[in-house]
Amino acid sequence: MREENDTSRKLLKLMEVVDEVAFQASILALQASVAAAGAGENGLGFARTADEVRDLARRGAQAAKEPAVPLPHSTSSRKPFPVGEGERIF
Amino acid sequence: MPTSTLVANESSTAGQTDARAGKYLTFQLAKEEFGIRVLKVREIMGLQEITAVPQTPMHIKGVINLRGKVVPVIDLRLKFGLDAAEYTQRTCIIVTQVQGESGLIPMGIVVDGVSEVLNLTAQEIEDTPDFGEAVTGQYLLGMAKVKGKVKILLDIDRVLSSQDLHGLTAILT
Repeated sequence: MREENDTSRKLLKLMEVVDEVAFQASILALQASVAAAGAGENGLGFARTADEVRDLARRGAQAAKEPAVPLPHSTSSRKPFPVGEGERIF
Repeated sequence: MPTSTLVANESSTAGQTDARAGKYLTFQLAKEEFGIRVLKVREIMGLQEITAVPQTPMHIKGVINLRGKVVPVIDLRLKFGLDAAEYTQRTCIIVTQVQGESGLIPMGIVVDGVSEVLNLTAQEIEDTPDFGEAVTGQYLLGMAKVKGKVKILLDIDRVLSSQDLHGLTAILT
């Protein structure tokens, strides 16, 4: 049980970090958009890149919010099964 | 022939309200979305340590060190008379360039969060409605209609009026 709690805590921490990185990336992308706009015509290509980076950041943030593995269920669903010491489900 | 008339039409419609069309950086403040001209923005940054300066109005949060330059920071919520909110991880400082008497002055504004850079056409921008004499809408550039919602476009030079600037330059020099 403790091991599982440990794992979920680590996962949550990881998700927080991903979310934080995504947020920083989105700010940087906005910053790049602003700089590109300042460059006028010359910044058009750069603006596109900035948009794409921002899209990546958005996807990162989304992934952190909706993890592929539903954390709270993983512990409860395993309970009924007699899992031996050191045995792993995944 | 038809192409030439088309081009002429386009340039004439663009000429009418073209001053306000362009790119805007939008941000959130108390559930509303505001926009300021991208060319007025110098930098966007996450929240960082603000050094409070004594004897300044409530909405002046203090100063930050922007790569060796001391830049005053204003809380836009307080400036607009909105409820103060706790700063979160999403809170940002937008460093703007405000027109002062002696050139452009960098000034930071604290907002709830930055959203995106929008390219607004003249058709998407509408004049500020008349709210009556009691309301001074001078600091409003107009209203942007985007995806069924309204975003308020601010004239940042007027929001951060000369009053603030005078007070601040007096403190900082």
